Amino acid sequence: MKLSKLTIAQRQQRGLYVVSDRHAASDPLLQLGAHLSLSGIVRVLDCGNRADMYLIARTLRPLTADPVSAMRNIRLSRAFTCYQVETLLSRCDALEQVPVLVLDFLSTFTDESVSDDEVQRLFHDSVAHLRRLSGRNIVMVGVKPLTDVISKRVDLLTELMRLCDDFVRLNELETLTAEAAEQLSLL
Amino acid sequence: MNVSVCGWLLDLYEDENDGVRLWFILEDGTRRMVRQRFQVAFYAAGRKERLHQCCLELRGMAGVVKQSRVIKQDVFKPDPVCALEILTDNPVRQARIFRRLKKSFADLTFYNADLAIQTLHAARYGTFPMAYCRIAYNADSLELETIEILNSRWDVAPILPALRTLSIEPDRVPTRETPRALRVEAEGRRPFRIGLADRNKIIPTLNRIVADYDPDLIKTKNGDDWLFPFLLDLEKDRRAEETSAAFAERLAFNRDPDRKIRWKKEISYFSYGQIIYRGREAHLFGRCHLDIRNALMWKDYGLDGTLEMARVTTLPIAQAARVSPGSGISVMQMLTALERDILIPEQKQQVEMIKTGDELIRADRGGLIYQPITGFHTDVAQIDFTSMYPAIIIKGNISPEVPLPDGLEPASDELGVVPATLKPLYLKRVAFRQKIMTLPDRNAVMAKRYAARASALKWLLVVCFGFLGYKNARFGRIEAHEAVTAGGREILLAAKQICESMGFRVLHMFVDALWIAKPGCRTAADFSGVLDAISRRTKLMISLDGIYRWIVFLPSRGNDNLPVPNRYFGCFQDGRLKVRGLELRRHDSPPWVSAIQRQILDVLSGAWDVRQFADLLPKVFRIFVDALRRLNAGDVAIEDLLLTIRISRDPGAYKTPTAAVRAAIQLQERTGIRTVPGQKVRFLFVESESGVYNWDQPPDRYPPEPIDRAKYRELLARAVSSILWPFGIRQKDLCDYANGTLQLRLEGV
Repeated sequence: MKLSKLTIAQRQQRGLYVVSDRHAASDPLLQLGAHLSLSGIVRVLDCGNRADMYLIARTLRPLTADPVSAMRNIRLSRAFTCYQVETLLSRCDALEQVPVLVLDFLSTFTDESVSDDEVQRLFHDSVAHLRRLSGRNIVMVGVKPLTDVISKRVDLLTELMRLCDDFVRLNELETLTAEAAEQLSLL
Repeated sequence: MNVSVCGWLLDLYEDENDGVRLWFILEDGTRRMVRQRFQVAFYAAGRKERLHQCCLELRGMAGVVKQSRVIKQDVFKPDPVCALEILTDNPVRQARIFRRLKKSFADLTFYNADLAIQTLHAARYGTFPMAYCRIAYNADSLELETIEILNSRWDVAPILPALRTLSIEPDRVPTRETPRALRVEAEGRRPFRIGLADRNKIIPTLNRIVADYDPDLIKTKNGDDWLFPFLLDLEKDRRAEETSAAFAERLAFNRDPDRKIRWKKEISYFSYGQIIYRGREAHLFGRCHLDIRNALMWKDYGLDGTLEMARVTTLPIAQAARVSPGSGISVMQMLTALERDILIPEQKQQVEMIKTGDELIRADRGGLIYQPITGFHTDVAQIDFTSMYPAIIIKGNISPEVPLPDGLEPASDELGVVPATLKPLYLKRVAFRQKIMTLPDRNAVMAKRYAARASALKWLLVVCFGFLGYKNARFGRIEAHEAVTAGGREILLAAKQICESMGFRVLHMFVDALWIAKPGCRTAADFSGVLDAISRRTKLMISLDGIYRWIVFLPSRGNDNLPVPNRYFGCFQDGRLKVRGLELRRHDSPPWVSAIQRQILDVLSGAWDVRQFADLLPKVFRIFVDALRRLNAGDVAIEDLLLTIRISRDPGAYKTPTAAVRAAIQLQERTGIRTVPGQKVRFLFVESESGVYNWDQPPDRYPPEPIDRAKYRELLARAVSSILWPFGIRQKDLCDYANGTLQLRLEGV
């Protein structure tokens, strides 16, 4: 993955960045999380049940002799409904100086059992939390393209793209380069 | 004048004017409706100023009886919450007021706001379907004065009334052919047909039958998706045709004459790795409509199990027949919460506590599986923990609001909502199993009825664990879900240690079951010691499922060296077969393939050891050869070649359509009928461009192309090769043989 494609200024410590691919850019973000965990705490908010900790462990193994300590730097919570996503983000409002990775952010907002009005309200509240959070931290949000089946909610992605500091769409074959990860881990 | 009578509660529903209407089957056989005033309270919590604004909005609103500030317990919060209690005069108006508030005050947390009237009534009066009650009511106004429940939903042998059942079914499968008649049968009377050609006579005839027989249950096939829509369309057409609408008789299936049929929308939902489709539902008032084609578990436990499910969950009978067991357990948990005065959030907002990466790896593991030692084994016992996960939940007191146990040692003595809900259910199931054991004939009617009821409870217990981790479960909590699987893994490992310390070889372990063997052990007595030792150590019930003469654990299809769990077939000492993961257990196998595989296994069930098993191979091969001959000669009934596969997404969403999806697309292109996610597609493999023929299209307009015999030969070879795998006979060899490109010689064939 060319996460370096994102226009993150060197030493930039805050901002909302959105990364998209077919799998919500989860693997690249988790790999990034592994790199970041080498130098400190990383907050992972998993909104699509994508937190594959084995992937992080595999990524860490060649990078450090003590992957367990790095794994302990990963601080993860999962949300399974859009109500939980909103609550989870609201509880992160006070976080400072910690990189935040949000996995598959839009997944729960496509739940057809939740009304469109509710989705709109929760989405806007969640994005407001993300904006607040990104005022103090670097926040990387993974999303996947919304398909026609949920066409009514395609606007959510457009709205998120409008509000973020930068957006990048990854090619499927792109993988995280060590250089890009290193560059980001310096931030 | 007040009348006091005894009877069984059949139906209960809300009414805007009366509050609640209750239908009883009285002891003298009368069916009686009574009315009951029923005030309903719900709660809102949140910021003070918003609650104040909410109060102002509610002031003077029709239906609001009282507003007050109360302190109540939220299941996910350690301290009680201060909430606004909104008391309404009527359940219908309560729902309306809640919807209105939800729009204006979406930021507030609402509690007890969307509960079914049956649940609220059960919590207040202890009612449940088929509850035996003493009621007193005013004979003029039919207003209910008092109600006393005289039995319990936990009774193992309750006395039930004789229900009048009317069956109505079309003479043809409506999705495939237009029905020409209805077959109608009132229980205990001679069945008869109503022709559909004379459209003017259909509704009056049916109305007359219903009025005359006055059924409690109307049991239909395709009632939800065809019969009721057909009858209602007919009614509409006739009213449009008649110059005076008075001549066109309305459909009168409801016992309550004030009501029309209530429709519930179709849904597709995700359950245990599958997308399930449930068609729209037609519900009646004062009697129950059961469409057995739209009743999820009807094939498994029938009416007895449905009534049991309704009794223990308090769901109305028609609903209990259709909803998933998960919905049943959810209602039961809500009832427990209501009884304990715990608030039930309309939307669960509690989130997972922070875990580190390594903690997640340790916690999120699921059930323990010990891969089988593949191959042929003799004298193997299968031992299973009885309802292991429910037992762990109860024993460990695992509930979202209670501190999690340390191993299996509960952190608190007072049972939480989830274990308190499960305990009576678990005990009732154990009681059913004990009852069945005491009956001399396990095939007798009584034994079958107990088995059906036990099965309904089994499903409720099975889903209770999954529900702890289900995103929409009101009393779910992912940590509690993980604690249960952690307990399960500990117990299974303890059991393995005990088995091995007593000289048994553990061949396979799967979540709550172990397959163990020891030379010379082949009777129940040989295994009783190990069972006792495991029970003593784990404090859970474990039983002997059976002793196999022989059992074959199969490897992965793609790799002979890779064992896979739960793919085996074996023969118990009494000759019964147990099969898992083979074609005959799979819904997507054509019946012809399943039948041949079953036939082969039946032959092999005559063997006691590997030698006898090998001796039977010529017979097995003869069955295979005969089946091929019949297929090639076109002697196999076309229905037996049908495949039934559920699709999980909209057909248009597939990038590479599978055969089932191609069949769904074909149906839509030819007939306009859409297959929605969760619906099953029935199709044949045929020699055509798409390679498939959808079975649910009119055959007169779209006759099927010739059967793709090569494809069916391949399916058969695949099924037979699963059984012959221990003898080194591979699918490819059988396939090549079937297609005439390989010659095999087997003595005696």
